Amino acid sequence: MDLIKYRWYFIGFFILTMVLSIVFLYVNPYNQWGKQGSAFNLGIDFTGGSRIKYPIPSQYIQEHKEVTSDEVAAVLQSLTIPDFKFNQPQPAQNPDATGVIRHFVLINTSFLNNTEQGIVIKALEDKFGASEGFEITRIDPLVGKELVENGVMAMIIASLLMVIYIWFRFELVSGIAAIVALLHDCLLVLSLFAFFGIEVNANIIAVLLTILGYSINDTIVIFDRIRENLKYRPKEISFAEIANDSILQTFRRSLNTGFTTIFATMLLYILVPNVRELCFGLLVGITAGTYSSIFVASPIWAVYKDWQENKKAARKLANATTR
Amino acid sequence: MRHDLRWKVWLIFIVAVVFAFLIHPTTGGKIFKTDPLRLGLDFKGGIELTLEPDYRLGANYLAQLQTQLLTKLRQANIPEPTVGFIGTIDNNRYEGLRLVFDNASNLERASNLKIFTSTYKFESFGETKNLIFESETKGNVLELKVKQNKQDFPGDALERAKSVIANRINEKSAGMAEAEVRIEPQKERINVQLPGLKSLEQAQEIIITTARLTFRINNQIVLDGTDLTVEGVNFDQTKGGYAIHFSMKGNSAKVLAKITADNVGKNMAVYLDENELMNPRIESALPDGSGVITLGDAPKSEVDRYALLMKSGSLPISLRVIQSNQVAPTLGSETVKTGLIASIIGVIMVILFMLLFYGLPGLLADAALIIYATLVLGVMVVFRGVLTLPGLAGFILGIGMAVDANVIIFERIKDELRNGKRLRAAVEGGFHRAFTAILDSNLTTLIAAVVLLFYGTGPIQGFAVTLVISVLVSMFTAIFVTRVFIDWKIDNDPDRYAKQFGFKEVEG
Repeated sequence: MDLIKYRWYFIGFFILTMVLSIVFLYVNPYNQWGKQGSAFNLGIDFTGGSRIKYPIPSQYIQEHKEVTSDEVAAVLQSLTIPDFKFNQPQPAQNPDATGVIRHFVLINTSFLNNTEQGIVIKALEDKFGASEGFEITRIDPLVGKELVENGVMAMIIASLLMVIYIWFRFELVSGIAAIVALLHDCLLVLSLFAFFGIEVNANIIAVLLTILGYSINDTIVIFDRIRENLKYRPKEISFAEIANDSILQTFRRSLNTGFTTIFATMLLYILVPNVRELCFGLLVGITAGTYSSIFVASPIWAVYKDWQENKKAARKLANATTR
Repeated sequence: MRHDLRWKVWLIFIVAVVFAFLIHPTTGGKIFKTDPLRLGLDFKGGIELTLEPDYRLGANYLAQLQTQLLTKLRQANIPEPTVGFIGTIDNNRYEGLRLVFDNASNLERASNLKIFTSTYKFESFGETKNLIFESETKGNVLELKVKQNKQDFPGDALERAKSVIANRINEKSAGMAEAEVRIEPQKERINVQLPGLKSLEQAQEIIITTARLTFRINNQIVLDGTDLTVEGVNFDQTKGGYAIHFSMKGNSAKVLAKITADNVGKNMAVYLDENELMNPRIESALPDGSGVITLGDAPKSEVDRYALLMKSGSLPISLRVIQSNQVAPTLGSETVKTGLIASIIGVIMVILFMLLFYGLPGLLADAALIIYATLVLGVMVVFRGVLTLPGLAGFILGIGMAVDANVIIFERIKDELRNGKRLRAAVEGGFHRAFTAILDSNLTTLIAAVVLLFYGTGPIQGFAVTLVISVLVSMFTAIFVTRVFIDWKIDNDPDRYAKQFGFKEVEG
């Protein structure tokens, strides 16, 4: 099997994916192709604000059957809190650990201080009855900004250090190819989150980090094979062929590891509803990670190495003729 | 059996048993006096708060600042702008002032006076506050953000605030051994973790009382509540109402004695942050620094509330909550279940997969995997790390890496067998050749994990901690433990097992 024969197709496809991903980071169905606000459905982890998960007491459900979003919105509307903003409340229900269906409502608002938080909870209690076990998260906008800054900083520093390590253990082009593949995976995940308008919260950072670890891991295993095969390379064998052999030799490992991880994540996605967004990111990222080490990192490496050798050969030839 | 194999197997066995004892709630619990594995808020429920010193001005100060600034504008013959506060009301403090001029050129004239520059000495009620201004102009509107310079407060204010909060938690909630109050390094912030809190109201008490208590005469701060002790509330027969008994320690006692002696007959207001709690009249001097506040015929519950507020307001600096996270204990236990289900499914999947694809060596790798899990949890227990949900993700990622290492090794052994080596040599060669791939892939992941450990906040750090431990342990189990198990198993008659390492393809 000769995969690397199609290397230009892979690189072409890679460029296409990257361009589309970047476009979707700016315009996508979520922001109505750029007409409306942010391209991402940013959660309060990033924008700052308060998130209240208020379980509706079962008594209220028995009497009224359900809670509508407008009912909750009406309660919030009646409050006098300066500069108070809130998103359309989302009623939802989930079976708890014992299988009983629990109704609750999710409310995202602007950042509430202690007094204001008290006012909101009081109003909800007055309307729906006192509820046990509500969850409140609030994040100052400043902290949200820090989260982004620290996260981005960490990713950049980690990537740089990894390039340096790979440069030291392999060669510079391997490091760059690995990071390009990584960038491909992360951009793909981010653009899909934007495209489908899935809420982006602090979990996205955990997702990207896991992908970072997985994708680099996967690429290194192939590059390790390439490194080994290079030791015994006869002159007439091109770098493209070496890459091809290495991919095939590690193919079974790539598939085995890839499929187990994807299968396990898929099970989680189906079985555990409240980690669904996280699992979606992981599924896309891990699939992309397996794909990109074979079809992005390796072709880039092969194309660069062959180009470099041809250049060297051409120069030698030129030197020979001028002499 | 080879001599070195025997002690290696024993060593692995003993280490695993010791760690298992440390992790087990009953045996480990005796050693650590609490649950051996510390679970984070997302598992246990509870409250987490991040507090930051509040350098904003109170409403009455801002009003005075407004007057001073307007006077200066009037002196320069600039038509007076309309002024309002910016920011939402929070402890009666605001972000600053919004000045709306009638046109942009008047605003420019005002700006040229240079009174809205970066620092401002603010004289008010007999004290000087150093203010930091941050102004932003838009058309004819000038938004002036005002903060007090932190140099105005004692340098150890945050440290003292931290110990006040810690004491308060200890007093309020016995049995919360895992409560943690710490100052976030590099940032001026206090982080409070109250895991396993039974009711949210307990924490609410702590949250509402992050304010500074001050005593004021004619709006001037004469004393703060750092050294205040509230002795209790009782019924005062002579006055016919409930009274709060309080006393001051050390220097504050002397200050109180002097102030009260000088101001008999005047009112001394008690402020919690910028809110006036009460405004009692000084009836006589308090020479020993202790006294009684009576509140007319207020009911006991109300007086109790005032006493509580006074008691809890003794911070040297006002703090405000910039981040909080309340997880109900019931929800916490649901997360435990979800997390447990997730990890168990993951582990079972992986164990089955290894068994199906690799047979006997897969089984040995599974044994190594169980040792991996024991070691990772054991290391967490020994270093008193806290397991959170993102941490669990790091742990599962580690399982993936451990299995991946074994897959790489087994595929290599198959290659070696295909090349005609006998099993013992193939195992030797397989491990040897797989080593660089495992080392390099694990070390790159380790680099990323260590960076996250330093740069991450909260959840990211939890992820990074378990990832670092997992990567190190998984390298150890994949390379060393699996190796020992395989060598030990094939020690007597290696070639009998060759088939089980996937040799049949070549044979057949």
